[in-house]
Amino acid sequence: MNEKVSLQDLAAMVADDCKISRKKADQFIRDMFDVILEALKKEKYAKIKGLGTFKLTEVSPRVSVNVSTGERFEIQGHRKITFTPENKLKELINKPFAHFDPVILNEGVQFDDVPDDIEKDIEVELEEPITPVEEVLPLVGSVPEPSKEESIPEPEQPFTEEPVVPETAIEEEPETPEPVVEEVLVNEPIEAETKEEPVVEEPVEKSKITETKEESMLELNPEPSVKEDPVSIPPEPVTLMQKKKKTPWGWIIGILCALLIIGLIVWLLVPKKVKEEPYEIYVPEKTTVSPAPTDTVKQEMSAEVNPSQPEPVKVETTAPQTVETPKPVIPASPQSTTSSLKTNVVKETIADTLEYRITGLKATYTLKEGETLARVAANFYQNRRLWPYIAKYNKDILPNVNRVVPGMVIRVPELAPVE
Amino acid sequence: MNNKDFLLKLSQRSGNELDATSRLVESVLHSMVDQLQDGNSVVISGFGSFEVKKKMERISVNPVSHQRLLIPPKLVVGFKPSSSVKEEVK
Repeated sequence: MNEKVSLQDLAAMVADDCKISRKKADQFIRDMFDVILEALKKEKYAKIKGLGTFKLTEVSPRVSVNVSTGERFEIQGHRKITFTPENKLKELINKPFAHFDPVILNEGVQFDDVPDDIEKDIEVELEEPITPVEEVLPLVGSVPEPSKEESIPEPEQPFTEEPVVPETAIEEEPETPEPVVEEVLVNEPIEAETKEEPVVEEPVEKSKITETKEESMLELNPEPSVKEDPVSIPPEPVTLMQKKKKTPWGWIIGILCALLIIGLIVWLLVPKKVKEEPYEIYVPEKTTVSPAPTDTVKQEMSAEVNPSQPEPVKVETTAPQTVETPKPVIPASPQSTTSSLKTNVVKETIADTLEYRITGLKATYTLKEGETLARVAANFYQNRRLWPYIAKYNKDILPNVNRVVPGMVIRVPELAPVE
Repeated sequence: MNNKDFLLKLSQRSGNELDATSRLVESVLHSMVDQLQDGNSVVISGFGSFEVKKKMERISVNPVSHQRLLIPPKLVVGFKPSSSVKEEVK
């Protein structure tokens, strides 16, 4: 190791190998390198098979500074010999280290094992690029990276959850049987209402929603093998595919996979969140109430104060129906719609385009697990949108209509249309 | 100058057959590479020296993606022309 092998040593080896005299071998090696040198001088280029390429390259003149005196002087342009080993030779020489592969480093990796001089180099290297790296990170973070793939779904979760709900709500629209019934009765407000409708229904039709969500997820991400084991399977293809990425396809697939995972997480969390969801969703509903047309509100007020209700009447409770139908049609044809309704529909379906007043107790009902006031309204009035009346009637025991507890006994009011 | 020209010229100069020349060159290079693989340096007086150097592991940053890569250590062949050749070439 680390010995110097001279031309003579080499000649001895060659002589042994080819069974020629040492002298001849010596001479041959000299000739060999002479020829290379000559060729270099002549053609500036010599390619030797099994060794590599020798080249003569021009070095352009440059100005340097004498370190001790600070004097400037010019280094003259000259030529020098460069040697590039053949790939085969490179591999042969590097055999002891051939099993190493470059490793992608994550953030926060320490360099304890890296020698000092190199670490200095690293610091110099990092000083400039480190700020760009952090600037770029948020961008990179939004797109799933192979190494951080597990940490990414979590930060994304909060803001994707919200969009997911409206998505499914919109998709649910065509499936809800309710609007169809009402479409016969009320043609105008349907469009405005259906947007809010599914939201109200969500807790009730929990099972339906989960189904539709699954479907929608499948539609969004055209990938197989989701249904069998939705939780454990997806992560694997992600890692495999993302390791292979380099093409935009890899990214696209990675993003799709991430969406799929997020969707699954949301889907798994939905049962727990169901009880809270209405709370979040009703808030905007109440806010939309305030800018409602004042004339209908006034009508309501007068209508509801009259029927001797001891409680302070709030506009909110009846608002969801009346506000959404802000046209003066309501007072005009309440009778005709109800009459047609009662004649046409055998079940006592109560339209929600009218205003009602509470005339008395119709029944008491014990809430079951997963039930909402909307479902109770659907049971008793065949119209889930009339739940606010129940809420109003039970105001004393139900301070927060969005938090109904299973087992709670609620009173269902008898409703009569306001003339 | 490619390998063919090189062998042709060498065979002319050394007075060997082209076949024998190529075999000899192979032998020379083979023993050279052998020595280099053992970690020895090969010094050809009047031409230069070949030696194996170990490049330590380092961290490189992809300037585009800012991805950091740990490049493993490796062995490379280096060639240093002798001072006489340097002067000649200059």
